[in-house]
Amino acid sequence: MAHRAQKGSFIAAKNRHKIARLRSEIARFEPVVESGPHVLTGFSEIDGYLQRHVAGAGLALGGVHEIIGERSGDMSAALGFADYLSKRFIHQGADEDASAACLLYGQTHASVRENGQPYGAALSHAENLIYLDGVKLPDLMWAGEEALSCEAIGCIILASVDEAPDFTFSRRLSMAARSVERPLIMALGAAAAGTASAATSQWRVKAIAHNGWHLKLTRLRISHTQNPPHQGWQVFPQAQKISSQTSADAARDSFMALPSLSSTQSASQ
Amino acid sequence: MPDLTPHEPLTTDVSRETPTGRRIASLWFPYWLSETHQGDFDRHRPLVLVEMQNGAQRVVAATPVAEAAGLFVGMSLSDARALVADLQTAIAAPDKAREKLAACAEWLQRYTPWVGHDAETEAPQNSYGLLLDMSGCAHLFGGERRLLEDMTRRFSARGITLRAAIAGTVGAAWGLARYSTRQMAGAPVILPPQHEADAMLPLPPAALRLNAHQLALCQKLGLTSVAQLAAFERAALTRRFGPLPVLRMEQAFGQVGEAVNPCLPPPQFLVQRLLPQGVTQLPAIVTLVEQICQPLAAQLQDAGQGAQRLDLAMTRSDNAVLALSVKLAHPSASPRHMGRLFAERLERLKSGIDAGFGIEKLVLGASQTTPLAPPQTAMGLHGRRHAPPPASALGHLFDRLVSRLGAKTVVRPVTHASYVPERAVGFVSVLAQAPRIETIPPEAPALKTRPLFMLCAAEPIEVIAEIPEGAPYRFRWRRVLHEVVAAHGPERISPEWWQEIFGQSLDSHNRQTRDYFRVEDTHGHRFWLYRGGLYGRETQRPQWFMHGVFS
Repeated sequence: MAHRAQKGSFIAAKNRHKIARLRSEIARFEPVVESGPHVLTGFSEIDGYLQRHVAGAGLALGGVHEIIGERSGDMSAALGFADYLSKRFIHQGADEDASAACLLYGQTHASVRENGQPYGAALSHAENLIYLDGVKLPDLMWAGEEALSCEAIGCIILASVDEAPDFTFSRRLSMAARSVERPLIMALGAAAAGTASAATSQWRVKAIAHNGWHLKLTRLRISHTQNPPHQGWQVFPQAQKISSQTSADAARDSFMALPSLSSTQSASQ
Repeated sequence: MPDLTPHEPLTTDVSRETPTGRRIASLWFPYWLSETHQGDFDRHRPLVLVEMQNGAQRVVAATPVAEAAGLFVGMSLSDARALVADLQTAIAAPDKAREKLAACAEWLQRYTPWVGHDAETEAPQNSYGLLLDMSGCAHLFGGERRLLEDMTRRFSARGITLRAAIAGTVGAAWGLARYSTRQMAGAPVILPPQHEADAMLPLPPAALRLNAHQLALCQKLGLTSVAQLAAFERAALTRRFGPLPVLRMEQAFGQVGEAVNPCLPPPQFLVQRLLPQGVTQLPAIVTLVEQICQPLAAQLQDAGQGAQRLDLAMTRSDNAVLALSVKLAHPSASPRHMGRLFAERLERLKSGIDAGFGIEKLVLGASQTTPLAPPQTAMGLHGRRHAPPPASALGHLFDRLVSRLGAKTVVRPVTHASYVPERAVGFVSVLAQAPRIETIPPEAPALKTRPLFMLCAAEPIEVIAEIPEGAPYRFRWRRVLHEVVAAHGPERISPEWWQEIFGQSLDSHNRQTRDYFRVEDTHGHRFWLYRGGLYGRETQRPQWFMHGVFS
């Protein structure tokens, strides 16, 4: 028995050794993104986590960030978070290079049918928006790669609701983004989740009551030993503050409740 | 160049000059503007061209027939109508006349390759002139007289009055064409070599191409001929009139050279390549096209031009021509960019290329070009770039996106001042010129009351709501039932009734008042929906629509 345990620990040690060797091997030809500009999300708890765990303290400007809607109706929330991040990226990018201010926004045909066309806050800098109104997914990936190499582009958002790019596409984009230090955000619907991806960070977004999002960081390429936290964060972008479950009522003001609200609630009960 | 001291009187002895052997023809079309307009009109009845001047229609040009009837430039149209009852009138279009003159200059190259416009710009609006360097050309037409007769005949057949003169200098030919007494009689003037000064001296000072101010001064001083001007000392003349009259006289007498600036056709950017053997394979064709982009780009770069439209013609062995053209968002002279655009287009041709037995000839031309500003080099400070990227960076991206995805797909938003959401935003191709971004009026709805995305068309939904104007309790959209827990609204948007007054018909959907609500369901999803039509006033059964989802 003791012999067996000894043998087991020997194999475990051997495996550990093997895994460590493989990790160092991988790290050698795939350096971790530590250098280059990073951007904070503007939500203090998330930024606190990123500052603790990422050498550059924030989301890498040169990287692919994937945002996935948690449920079928959460594509809008994913797009909202993508739009929010893109504004921070462009704002940060403007400090580095004043000229890269254009946002390329591209959607697949299915995504146009599901979400419609940019409106409202998406048009707050209409003169800098370039929009691809419904293309096939391979074309969308190609357009993203083309746009990454254009120096006037500050950020790219690509949206696909029902299919996700395969690993090759994702890898190409991610390497291109890293080499030019330009961010690319993939917004994906729930149906597109679950495929292999080479994204620098991956988020899952869920709309919650009172104009908020529940954000969960499911992947972060900070180091090959760290795993992202399992718990998520609740954020209220309009209130611009982070809120725990209990203080959600404070954010109620951000969603304008009607005088008719009470009657609505009583009617729906 | 004669060695003349400033105080020496102007010599008129041209024998001091070595003969240049140049022969210049000056053509003057005294009624060009009016005569080129008379295409559809009766040439035997008076025609005048009119223009609005100070709130009245005035005659700006008249045909010889109209002048004979007593009409003159500057009179008002009503006066002209009082004089001639059956007057024909047309709106003056000087641009068109100038275009026709350019075409005429091109046609005149049948006589000589060296055709130029008159340098003089202050000509009265009706008349235009051209200069032809006839040196060594006249004998091909049987001598100068025959040549001028032939020219006059051809012009008069088209109803255009021509006054022509041939002399040894530009100045003399110009003056003689307009002011010679023989010319007044309608006969062309041909001045033998070395007689420029003799012919010019009796002419009025205007024959020297002087400006209005100098002519007024001549009149004031009682100078009525070139001879009187030439009698003055050069210094005195220059003091009074400035350097121009002396220069013009010397030019007319042949003591100072003067060139005719030929109007050359715009350069053509065209390259062609003949292939020794027919090529059928697409990759080979793509490579060849990329190769011939190089010499075209070199031509463009030498001329400082950028291509805005490229046309490729591929001739097959059976003489069928396959044509392909590419429009560029931003003028470019980069061979790599042009090559990539064609490569993409060729590879994406749906049916592929039907090369038949092979493509034997490739012709690539830039049919639209614009001057290309040299790129501004960026100045760096502490490793940061401060100069904007060249506009071509976006232009090249647009070209590549459009060539693969199509012009209708690659768009940018244009906003309009309208409260109706779908009218407030439109999308135009990035290739369209400078989109109009209207400034959003201060009373525009706040951005947070609008969703990030608006559905392309509002989708009908089934709603249970309070009658007449309550918020929805629950609704079914895309087959999913949503329970409403919070609602905000209504925000009432009335139809734009004034559009109908301006002649734009509204569809029935847009004739109704809309009440927009922002609602939140039990899952935290937020929707933007509206009720079309006011209950009891506009409709008995209001219809509900989903118009967007908040993020």
